[in-house]
Amino acid sequence: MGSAVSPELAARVHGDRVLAGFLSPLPRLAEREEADLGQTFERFGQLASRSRLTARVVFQVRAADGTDPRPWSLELTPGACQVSAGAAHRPDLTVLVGEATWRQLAASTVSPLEAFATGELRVRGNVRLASQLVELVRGE
Amino acid sequence: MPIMTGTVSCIRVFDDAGFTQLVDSAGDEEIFILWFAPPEISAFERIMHSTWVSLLREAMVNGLPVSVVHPDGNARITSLQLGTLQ
Repeated sequence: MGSAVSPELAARVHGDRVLAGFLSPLPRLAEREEADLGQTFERFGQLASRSRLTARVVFQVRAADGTDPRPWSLELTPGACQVSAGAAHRPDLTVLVGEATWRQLAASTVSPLEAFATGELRVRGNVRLASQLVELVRGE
Repeated sequence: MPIMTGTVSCIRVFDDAGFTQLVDSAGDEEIFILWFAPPEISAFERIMHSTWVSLLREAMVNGLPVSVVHPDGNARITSLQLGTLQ
């Protein structure tokens, strides 16, 4: 995926308090792009557990073959994050993402804003929480 | 294609990107893409995007619900509706 975000647009988005959080890539969540999806969410949860946040986040990962999305849930409590395969009741945030796009995010080859720009990433619920989570995972 | 109906909490327009944020009746927010760095854009698309922004502004100012249609698993709006056909 080429960069969908021009330097000019990145500079303008930089001033937006929500969108700016999605400009930089996540840290690598797995050694290999073809790593088990569960490992990438475990790593994401590990990095997110450094927070004082309490939140329930669901990732719905859509496979290219059109089968039903596979849900992964993250239950954040201050200083901890429990990751499980499966959906959660009334999540604060739902991230809908294609599997290929998630693997690129986990491999740090695209930024969340680039993934969003292609349309292959949707964020529903508390959008500010999404921005906070991304910053946390990056260690900011 | 999925449809989301909600009130408009934000319209953000850059020269090469436009976003809107809707809030549905359950209080869930979602950011949608109006346009984003199109490599080429026709006069028709420019007018359509301008019309979308006008409708969103009208809805935002008056607290009216809008419905957006977007492809499954994709945040790009393909059509936008304010009001319903009677």
